[in-house]
Amino acid sequence: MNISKTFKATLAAALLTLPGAAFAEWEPDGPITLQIGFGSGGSTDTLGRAIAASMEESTGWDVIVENKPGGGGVAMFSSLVREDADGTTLGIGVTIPTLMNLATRGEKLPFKADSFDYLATIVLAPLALVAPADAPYNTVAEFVEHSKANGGSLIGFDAGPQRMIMRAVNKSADAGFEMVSHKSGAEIIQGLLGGQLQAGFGAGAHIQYLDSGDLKMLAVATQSRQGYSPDTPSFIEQGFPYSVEPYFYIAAPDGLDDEAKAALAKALDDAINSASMTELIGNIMQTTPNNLGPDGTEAKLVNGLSDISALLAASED
Amino acid sequence: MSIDRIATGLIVLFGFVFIFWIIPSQIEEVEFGRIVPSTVPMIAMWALVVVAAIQFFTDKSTTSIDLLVFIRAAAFVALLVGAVYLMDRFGFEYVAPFLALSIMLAIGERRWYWLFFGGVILPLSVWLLVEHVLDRTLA
Amino acid sequence: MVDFSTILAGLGDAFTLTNLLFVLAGVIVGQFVGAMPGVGPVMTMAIAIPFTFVLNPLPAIGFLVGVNKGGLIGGAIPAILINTPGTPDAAATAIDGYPLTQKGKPLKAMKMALYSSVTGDTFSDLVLITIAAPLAIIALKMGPVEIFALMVFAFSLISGLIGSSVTRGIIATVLGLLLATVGLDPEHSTPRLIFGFFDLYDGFPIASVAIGSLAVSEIFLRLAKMRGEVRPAVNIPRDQTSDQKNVTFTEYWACKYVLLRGALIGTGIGAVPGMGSTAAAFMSYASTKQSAKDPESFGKGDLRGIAATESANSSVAGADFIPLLTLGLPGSASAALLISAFLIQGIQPGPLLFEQQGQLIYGLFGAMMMANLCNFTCGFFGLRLWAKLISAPESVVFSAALILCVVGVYLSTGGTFGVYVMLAFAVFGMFLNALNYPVVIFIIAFFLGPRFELSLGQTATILRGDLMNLTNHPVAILLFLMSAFCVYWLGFRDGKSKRSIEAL
Repeated sequence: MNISKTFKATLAAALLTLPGAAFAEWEPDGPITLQIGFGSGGSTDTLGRAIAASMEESTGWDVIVENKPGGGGVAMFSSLVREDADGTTLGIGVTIPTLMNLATRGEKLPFKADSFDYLATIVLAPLALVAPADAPYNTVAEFVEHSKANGGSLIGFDAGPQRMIMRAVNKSADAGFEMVSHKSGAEIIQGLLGGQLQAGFGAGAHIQYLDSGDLKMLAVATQSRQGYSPDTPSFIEQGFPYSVEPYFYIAAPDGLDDEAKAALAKALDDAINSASMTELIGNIMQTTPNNLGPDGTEAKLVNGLSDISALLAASED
Repeated sequence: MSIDRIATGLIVLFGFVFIFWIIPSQIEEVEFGRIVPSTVPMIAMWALVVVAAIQFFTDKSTTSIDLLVFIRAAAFVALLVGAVYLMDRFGFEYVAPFLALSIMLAIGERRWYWLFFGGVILPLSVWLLVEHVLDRTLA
Repeated sequence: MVDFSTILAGLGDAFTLTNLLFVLAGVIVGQFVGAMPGVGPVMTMAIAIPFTFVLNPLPAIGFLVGVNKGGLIGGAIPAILINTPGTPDAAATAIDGYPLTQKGKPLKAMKMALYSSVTGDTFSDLVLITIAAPLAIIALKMGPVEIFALMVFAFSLISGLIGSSVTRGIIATVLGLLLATVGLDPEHSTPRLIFGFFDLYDGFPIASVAIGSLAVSEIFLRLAKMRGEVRPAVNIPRDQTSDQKNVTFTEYWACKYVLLRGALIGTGIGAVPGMGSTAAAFMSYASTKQSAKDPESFGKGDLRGIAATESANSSVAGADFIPLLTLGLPGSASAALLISAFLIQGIQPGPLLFEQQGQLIYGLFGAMMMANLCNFTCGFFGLRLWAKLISAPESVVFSAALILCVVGVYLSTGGTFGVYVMLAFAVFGMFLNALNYPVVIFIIAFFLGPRFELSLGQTATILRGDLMNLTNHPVAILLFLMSAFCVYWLGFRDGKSKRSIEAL
């Protein structure tokens, strides 16, 4: 038996006897494992570990973090779906890669969108199309004209849906964009600053380059405008009815009982909106925590699937 | 025919199996983009087939394989696979000492103090360090 | 531009006893875990990061930098002593280090590795501290097309290591490239060759492949060959003279150009993210071997081989900080972990970093220099300890090494699946070895494969499928010409040496 675990269990028990202890109804039966669908060192990993630490602190539960990388969360969710729905195993992923896999090869996956109980979203990645600050275009329409006049402009992307948006624009406006695959948002920024790309997608890393005056925004890819740049209209407002909203979210295997679900959702909400998480999310994503709660999260996953399928159809020749 | 030539022949066969059967069935087809998922694997496998075919006819080297070493190596691999399977089922701390002891005995270690050190102390200190100091789980 | 008082204040922050102790602790931990086959600095940093949550930024980052730098030296130790490199970086160290151990001179080999590593590391740290900004601007001009050309150049240089059989070298290369394509493809993110295993979505875990084919295969082979009396893992003659145990200054100084070339290659590769320290180590080793008057002495215990490899792979670590600090772009797995530690500590890499956090960054630079000093001192005294430890019976050394590989891969890949993959690659490595296919060439191809495919796709898109557009990329053309020259030159030299053998 682990000494620190014993200590934490005692501490938790002690807390329970205190009047007004927050989680009197439900206690996890043993340590909670928070599985991260990405490798160590990325933003999901950093967020997950911080949430686990914050949950341990506020609830006294033992929260263990495990990395299960593979396919943008698919590997992790594939094994999570087989775990017991007793609230001791949770998974953290990102909506868009999960939805993309469900939309394009759902029949090969061992889970569906409704195979999980959804608990919380952590943050919405501020996805946007950006360009070098000295580029002679400021909107998507101007960029389309520029591309037509210059034999096709190069756009950096690091995830499939970004490519689908621009292919859909290509299809409707005949812009002739060429899409260059990149491994990360930081590499896209490198390409923009180095002059190899004419535009590219950023998911947060671009924001400080707006402040430094190296980059500018052409459009936001989310459905509504983003707080740090309220004057930048979305693709939808600019007449291209496409959006991509990558939420970081937390799910558990389907079939949690209501008390467990409520207790977990409450614990997660406290962790996500804690002062330390707010600061961390500001550091990593340049934005603020955004927890939609269990129902909101489920809606994002279920509606998101039809949005992605529609985008897929719009981008195909 | 030498072992080398048989192996080279098998590599050619492997290449053809990949090109005509495995790549088409295990790699999705995509209609757009400058390169598609199968571009690099296809190039690699055609290069493999051509080069291995050249080697099949030109290579004159003869490798001799020490059968006893081969069998012993296979036995150690089997031991490890079995041990990892059992670790997954029963836990690292119960299986690792037996694994270490069997390896040590198999290569002829008979001194009890070294057996105790390598077979009990070392595996259990690894387990203590990982599970109880660092708080990570080992199966 | 950061003003001078900020620089001084930053350095002043660094040189405190607390920071020194954290850096020292990091270096000791790093050297120790680096020397454990299967465990390594990357996994250790991943485990250590949550523990640094509670520390102040400078001691936290100083500790992690210490682990990283200590690991650079620790990694050479098992490669030299028992021929089981835990990372491909050290694979080239084993080529000349292990023969020296067999000749009873493990201490000499380890000391050469230590001196070369610290030399390369200090060189690239000085480059980072003094000319990071202009270097970052040059590195920005290295776009995907140039990276692709640089990769072709690296492959052509490394082809000099293929050895006697060209066909075997090419077969090992394409097998490495093929296995690197398993998992999501870089252009369309479709799963490839995964045969229904979702664990393979991100490809074969790098740790499993490297540790399996380089270290575990060697351990299996050694175990299989042992029978009868159990001997110490390494036998060091008792009556050694000082020059068999130590590296004299003359010997070190004789390697000055080798060290400088290694440090320059490593710094250049580190400043341009995407290639990594393995490529740098092998490029340095290959060019040192090819330009030597006596290339046949390499692989038999030549100190220049160790100097070339260790100076190059260590100097990548310092230069990695250039894209890391200016763009938030990691050049390696350990750099990626450092970025996440930076973010947790509220340090945002990017264009505003030097302006907003200049003092902290110069504090970090101070900590890096401290770490180099600690690395040298700890290494100097620690190596004797390793030489003592390794004289334990081989039964203990190899069974412990095997268990550590299992545990290390289990932890870094997050489950048993990675361990099975490691065992599969151990078997694969043994077959390659038995049939005389070069395992290191396979490993380099596997490591460079994903980036090679990504930049191939990027290049094809940027050139819009038309080779004539290459005229807009003069640097890439230069690199392609250098590659062609390299292959010609290597072929020519090979032909010449064959003729001279026939003449004998």
